[in-house]
Amino acid sequence: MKAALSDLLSPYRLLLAGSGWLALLCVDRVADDAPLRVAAVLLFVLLCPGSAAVRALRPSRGGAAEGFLLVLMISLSALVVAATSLMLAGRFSGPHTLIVLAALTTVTALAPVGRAPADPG
Amino acid sequence: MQDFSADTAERPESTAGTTTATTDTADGAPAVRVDTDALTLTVVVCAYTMDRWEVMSASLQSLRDQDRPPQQVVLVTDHNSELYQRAVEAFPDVEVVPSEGRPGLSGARNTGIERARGDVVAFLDDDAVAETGWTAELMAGYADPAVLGVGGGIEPYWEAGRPAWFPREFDWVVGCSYTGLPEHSAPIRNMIGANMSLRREAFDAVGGFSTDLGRTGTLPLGCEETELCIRVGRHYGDGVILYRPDAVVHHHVGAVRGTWRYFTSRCWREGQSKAAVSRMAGARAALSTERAYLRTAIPRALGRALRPGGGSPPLSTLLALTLGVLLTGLGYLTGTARLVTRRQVARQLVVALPLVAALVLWGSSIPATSARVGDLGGFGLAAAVPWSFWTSLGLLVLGFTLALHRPSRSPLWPAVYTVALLALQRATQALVYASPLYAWAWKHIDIIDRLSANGGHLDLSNRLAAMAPYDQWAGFFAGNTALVKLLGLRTALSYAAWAPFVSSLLLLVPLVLILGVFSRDRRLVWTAVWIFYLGNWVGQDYFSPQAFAFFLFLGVLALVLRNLARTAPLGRHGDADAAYPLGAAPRAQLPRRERLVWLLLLAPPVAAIAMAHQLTPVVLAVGLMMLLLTRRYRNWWLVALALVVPAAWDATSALAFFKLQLPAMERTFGDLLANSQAGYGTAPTGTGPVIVSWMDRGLSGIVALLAVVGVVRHPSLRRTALPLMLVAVAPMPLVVANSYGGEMIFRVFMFALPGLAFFAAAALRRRPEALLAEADAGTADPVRAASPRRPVAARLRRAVPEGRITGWRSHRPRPVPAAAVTLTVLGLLAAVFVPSYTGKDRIDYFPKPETELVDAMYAQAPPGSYIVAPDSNFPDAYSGYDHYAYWWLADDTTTPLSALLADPAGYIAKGMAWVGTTGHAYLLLSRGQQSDVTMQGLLPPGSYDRIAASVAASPSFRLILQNSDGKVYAYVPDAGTVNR
Repeated sequence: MKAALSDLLSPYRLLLAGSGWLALLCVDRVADDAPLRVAAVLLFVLLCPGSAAVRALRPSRGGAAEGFLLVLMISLSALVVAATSLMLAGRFSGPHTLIVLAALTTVTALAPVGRAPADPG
Repeated sequence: MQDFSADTAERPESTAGTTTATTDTADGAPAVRVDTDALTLTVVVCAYTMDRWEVMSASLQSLRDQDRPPQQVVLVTDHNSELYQRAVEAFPDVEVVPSEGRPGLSGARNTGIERARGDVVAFLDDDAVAETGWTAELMAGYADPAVLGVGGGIEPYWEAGRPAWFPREFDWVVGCSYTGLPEHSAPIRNMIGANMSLRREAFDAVGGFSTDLGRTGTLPLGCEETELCIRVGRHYGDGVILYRPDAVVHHHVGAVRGTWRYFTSRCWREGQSKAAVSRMAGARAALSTERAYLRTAIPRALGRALRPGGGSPPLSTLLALTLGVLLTGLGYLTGTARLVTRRQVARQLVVALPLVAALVLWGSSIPATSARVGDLGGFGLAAAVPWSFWTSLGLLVLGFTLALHRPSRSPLWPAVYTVALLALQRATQALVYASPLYAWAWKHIDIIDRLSANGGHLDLSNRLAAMAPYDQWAGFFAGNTALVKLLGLRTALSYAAWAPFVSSLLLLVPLVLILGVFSRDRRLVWTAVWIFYLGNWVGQDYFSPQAFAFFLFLGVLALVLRNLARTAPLGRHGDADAAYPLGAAPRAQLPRRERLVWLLLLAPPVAAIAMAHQLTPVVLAVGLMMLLLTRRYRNWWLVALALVVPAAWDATSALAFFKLQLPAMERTFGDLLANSQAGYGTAPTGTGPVIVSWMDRGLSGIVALLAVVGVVRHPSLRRTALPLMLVAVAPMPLVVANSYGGEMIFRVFMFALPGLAFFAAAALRRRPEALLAEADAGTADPVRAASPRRPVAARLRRAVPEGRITGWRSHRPRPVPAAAVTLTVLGLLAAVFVPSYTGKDRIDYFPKPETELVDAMYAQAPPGSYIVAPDSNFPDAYSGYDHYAYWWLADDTTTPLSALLADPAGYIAKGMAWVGTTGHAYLLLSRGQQSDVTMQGLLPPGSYDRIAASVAASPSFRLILQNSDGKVYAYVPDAGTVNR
């Protein structure tokens, strides 16, 4: 229980969970195409949703390159799926897309991690 | 005496005596024990000076006094003829030989090894005296067949008494056993030279002591035994080197070795020796024991020294400990630095220099190129880049080939070179042109602009006509619209120009991962990567849904091939194929839960592909279905995912498209001629376009031809890389099914390219020799399946040899010819790539005045206006496209061209007449269209000028805008009627 709690409150996990909301804050407060805003949005959109999903599901295999590819693919896919779905629902806007992604990232980042099974099979 | 001259390069079991019992081994695991009485022993003693004559005599006498005397004693004199003569006379029972190697202990020991006939060769220093049980203790260690070497304890015999300050942890300074070594029989990494033994076959397998290390005379640059032991350990993965502290020798330590001076200099030298070993054996292996020693033995010693009332004077011992560690560490660092500066930097420079030179030349070519892009000719940018660009490209190919043919496993240099190649190939245009290439990229930006402006309102009906599919598969545009909004940009124009470079760079990771599934050979993988990038001239890397979907497509494929393999029975050649030097062992099957996780992780990309592109989901599904043919990649759930997600999308968001298009698709299905007809550059006109079109087709041809050669040349890869082949072949039937706007054949080539590149790279490599076993006889008989003397045809017939392949023998490496082949092929591909990829830039690049002209026209044209132009090849053509109607003259197939050409102005005016007197119609004539219709042969030669002249003379058209790049006419309705 204590271990689970310390895992839940690990700085990386909390940062990941909050990353989308930080990006949203930048979008809201920082001027258009300012370097800080560009960096915050790109970092979040390209890496965070994927990192959270990969962390939650913990695929056992794969090196750094494979992990990076997976993170990038899932992040970009999440952006496309979120933006398209919002457009189809008639609720699209930039911040709306970011809110959906941020919420998704928070939930997956804080989701309890299924431990790898002790015996394969 | 037994004859030991026969070759004994077998595993220990075969040379050892009878198996007698099963007990515990050195590391505690029960194993077979062998009767060691049958093993014979040679002891090698090396001497270089007369000064130690007395001690040496005692040393040889101790061998005579052994409980188990050695069968052979060899005394090697190290380049000292006086010593040799005296020893020959004094020791008739000993084989005295002069060293035949380089002066120094290693050379002398190697001479001794060559003379040795015993199963085991032991070394005793000329200043060491063995206890009577020494040989028996050593030999007892060989009872376990896994034991390759046995070393023993070395007690110092201090000539002038042990200095009080000398820490026992540093007894290695005087070549003796030190505190920190095991106290009972245990496996260790390396032995100490003064008391060590090895099976003779180990020397046969890995060679003798390195003569680059080792003491020369009194210069104590040691560690040669460490390096040898690491080498032996590497060769026999499961071999053990045993330390038996009870096999004791007493090492004579002269008075001079008990001094601070000797202590400090020896520590310093030891550090330098360790650096040399690190370079030869790798830092991890070279320093593993030292790290443990530093972690445990030294802190304990410090603790003991600091403890009050502990025997030795604490202060001086403390000083010795600290100084010893510091000096050894410093020696290591300076040794590393010196070795790095002298050798490694030189080697790295050979690879780095071409890269640096190439990048500098490329950088310097940019301003010169930029100055010439205003007026490109029929060869596009290829004719505008200066010599420095071509030299830069040549240097990259050269440097990459050098990096690839170096004996290194690191992917760093090939990867860096690949990124540099991509910069040259696909970032040059972004740097020299002021705006993105391709009217299509502009169109995609226009779509994002529209979604940005209308709040993301998609129109899933067919109202937008030719532009409707972009809303029906809006994924790419939706994602970019969100990005533009979030970044606070005005338009995607600011980053679209870099899309070719970025999208190609993104492909690098999945590409390397895919190729790595089928080959463990670094050279093959990276050559294939280059063939992929040099062969991918089709230009689908620009700012487009295709480029995005292709990245996801390759990514999904990479993850599937790596993680969703299943266990399948190995075929007839399964074992041999798995060991094929150019191939790779099949991936192991993951547990069920893991496979499910990967399937879940693949769902978002599959969904994104379905939302973003029409063609890619089809190619992905067909490819995965083709993989069902292999047992290893038979994943029904995966295929279901790849089918159901796009089907769901097509049945909802894209339904209107299919309702409209299905009848037309049915009509053209199977019309091979029509569907494989390339719409882009079907009838290139003029010297430049004709040559460029031959070059791009030639480039595809070379890659395809090489791939066929690769398939034929490597039967083993044909079997193991079958999945790659199937995925490459899968999209080919689509050429028959649909024309995809005349683009299908290029898209199919692009989707097939990873597989083609893999086999094309394999074509450049020789087939390793197969070792065959006769089918009936049980004995393995090496047969040269691909003897160099046998003609090629005969070798190819042996593709599936009759005997079973038991293994492979790589050819003797011939780096120079191999590098020459790679250099030639990659150089040729690179030279052809540039015109193939940039040869149409006169059509695809729009200088600023042209964009300004178009934007000025749209600024005037009220919504509902009719926009007419020879074709749509101009920037911002679809600016605000939901408000305008279009007529592209060259694309209009409803009436024959002759009607247009007979009276262009009248024909166009007639077509515009529907707008009536209140409507607005505009005719745009600009340089991009002129280049397009002329160079691509979209209209007969001279047509464009004819249209321009006719319109200029017609009262139906009023010139409203004009600049260096074109003219805009407004339709004058009344004049037209009067004219008629």
